[in-house]
Amino acid sequence: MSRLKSDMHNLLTETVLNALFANNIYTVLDFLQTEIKRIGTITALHYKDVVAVRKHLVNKHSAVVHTALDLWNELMAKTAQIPTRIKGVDGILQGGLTTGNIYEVCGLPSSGKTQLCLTLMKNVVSYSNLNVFWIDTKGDFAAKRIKAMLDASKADVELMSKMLVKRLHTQHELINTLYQIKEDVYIRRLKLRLIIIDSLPPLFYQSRDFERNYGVMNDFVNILHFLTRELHIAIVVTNVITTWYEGDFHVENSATEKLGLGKYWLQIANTRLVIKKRANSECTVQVMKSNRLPKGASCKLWIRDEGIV
Amino acid sequence: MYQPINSLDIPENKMQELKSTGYYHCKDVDTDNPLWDVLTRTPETKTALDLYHEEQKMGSIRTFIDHFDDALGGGIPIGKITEFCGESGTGKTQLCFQLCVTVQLPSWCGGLDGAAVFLSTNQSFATHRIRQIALGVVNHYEFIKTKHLVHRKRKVEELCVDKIMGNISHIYITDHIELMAVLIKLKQFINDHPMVRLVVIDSISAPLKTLNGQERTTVVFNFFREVQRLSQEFCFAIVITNDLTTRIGSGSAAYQTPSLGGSYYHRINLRVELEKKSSPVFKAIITKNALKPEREIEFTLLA
Repeated sequence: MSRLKSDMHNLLTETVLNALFANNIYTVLDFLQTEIKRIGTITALHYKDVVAVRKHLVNKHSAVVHTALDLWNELMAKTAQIPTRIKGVDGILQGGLTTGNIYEVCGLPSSGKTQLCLTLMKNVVSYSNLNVFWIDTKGDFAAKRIKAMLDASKADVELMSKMLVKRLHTQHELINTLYQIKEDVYIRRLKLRLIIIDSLPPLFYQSRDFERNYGVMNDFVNILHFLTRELHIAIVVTNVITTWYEGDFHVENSATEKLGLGKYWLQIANTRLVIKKRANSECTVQVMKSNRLPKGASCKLWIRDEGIV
Repeated sequence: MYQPINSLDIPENKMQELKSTGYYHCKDVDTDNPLWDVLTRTPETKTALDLYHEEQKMGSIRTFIDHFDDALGGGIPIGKITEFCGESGTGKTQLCFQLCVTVQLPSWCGGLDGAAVFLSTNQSFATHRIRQIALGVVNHYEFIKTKHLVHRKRKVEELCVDKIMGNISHIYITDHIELMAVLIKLKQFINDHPMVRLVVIDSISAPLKTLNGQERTTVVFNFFREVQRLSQEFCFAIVITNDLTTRIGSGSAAYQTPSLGGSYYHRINLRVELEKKSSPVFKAIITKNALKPEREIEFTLLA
């Protein structure tokens, strides 16, 4: 619902706009919903001109119709699969991360989520000419660890200049950042196919105003969908699983596991991977939910000096 | 797709005002207003390489217990939240005291030339004990000074107990409201004392005990957001201590686990679980650390 501006049509001069604003006609929608005759009397434009402006605004501001074939062709041409180069993970993901999808990596605290994401970043940058964006909400990004991984796999340290990192602290900074990334990719042609957000809950646990949280979550999801579908990017988000204890002595099995961020978020990720720590430096990853991958597929991973293998 | 003004940090009444005059997207607003810049600003983007150089430059706070530092990946990292947890008498506070002293060592021997702020919530700030530790460190410093510098004609900094004590500032906090309020004080203080490299909170769980679950999470996450933002801006490490709580597992078997639960554990960056072996030997298990795998070590505290 854009606000009327003088650069929208050459008949919409400052005088015309001021006359419209004085009559509470501010947006394109307001303009279209007002009778042509009334706009004529307010702005002193000819009936014919008002119709022309209307037509122009409708063309410019309404949704575009695509055929299924166009959409299919675009999807085929622009979708990319990004191998994670972690054998087990590529196996359960049937080849790697696919652009257009939101992946969620969840697990109990200290189960290896950040390690998995750091390895993803290192591998994608090592085997392609792409940049990777890392959004760090709790200071967990460890450049020293990335450096050690690169050293252990004898890769060039300069690769680290293709890893872009933003440290942020609030929900609003997150959304501003995603819109900025949109501009970077759209206008400045940044070569970007993967964004990692580690992690989401710290931003949403800061407030108990659930109504507002819900609104912000919705704005967040909208821009995520735009980035994944329109700009063909894959997004990996980490989330926490917490254990809840109920009952008292003599109550069996009182612990239940709960995924963070509530019910709305449950439906957002296309593929949800659960990571579980087994022994020291060993973990398993399992597909918990997916719209196209077999559910329940799992693999074993090891945390090594060069990252997760 | 345009950014809706809903997603900005604007009070509800101002938002209604903007909407009633037809502003729904950020791009429609007159961007000359300097306040607008603040609202749509994002933190600076850095490359991992920049961050690596920054991390190297900042260093970390060494405990000077070599295998402990090694297991941590160099020491207590700057800009992150490190937790020591354990029952009472397992050396949590002692380790914090030791860090308050070792952070002040000059850089030639691995220190940060820093100062420390100690926030206590349970009256644990024992000056006689800090004095003892400072004395031990000064003696050790004199020893390595003669050992390492006897052949070099270099002048190095002198350390003395009073100077060390003078560089440790103490703030006493009684509840969660003071905990949030102290952030403002801390910001002023660190602005005036830019050499602060360590902020200790001993313990984090005490002021949160009176809160119910949801309130507690909100307070903890807000507190950590602000204190970590400060720590990244002013380059200091955050060390907190936490106690243990009892849980009932399957089969009604009781076991001990660190307090404050899973989402809190997710939020901190490093966790060190402490146990007492036999005085003065302690055991430390580093259960959460992005740099190194889980490791168990034993160490002795300064007498």
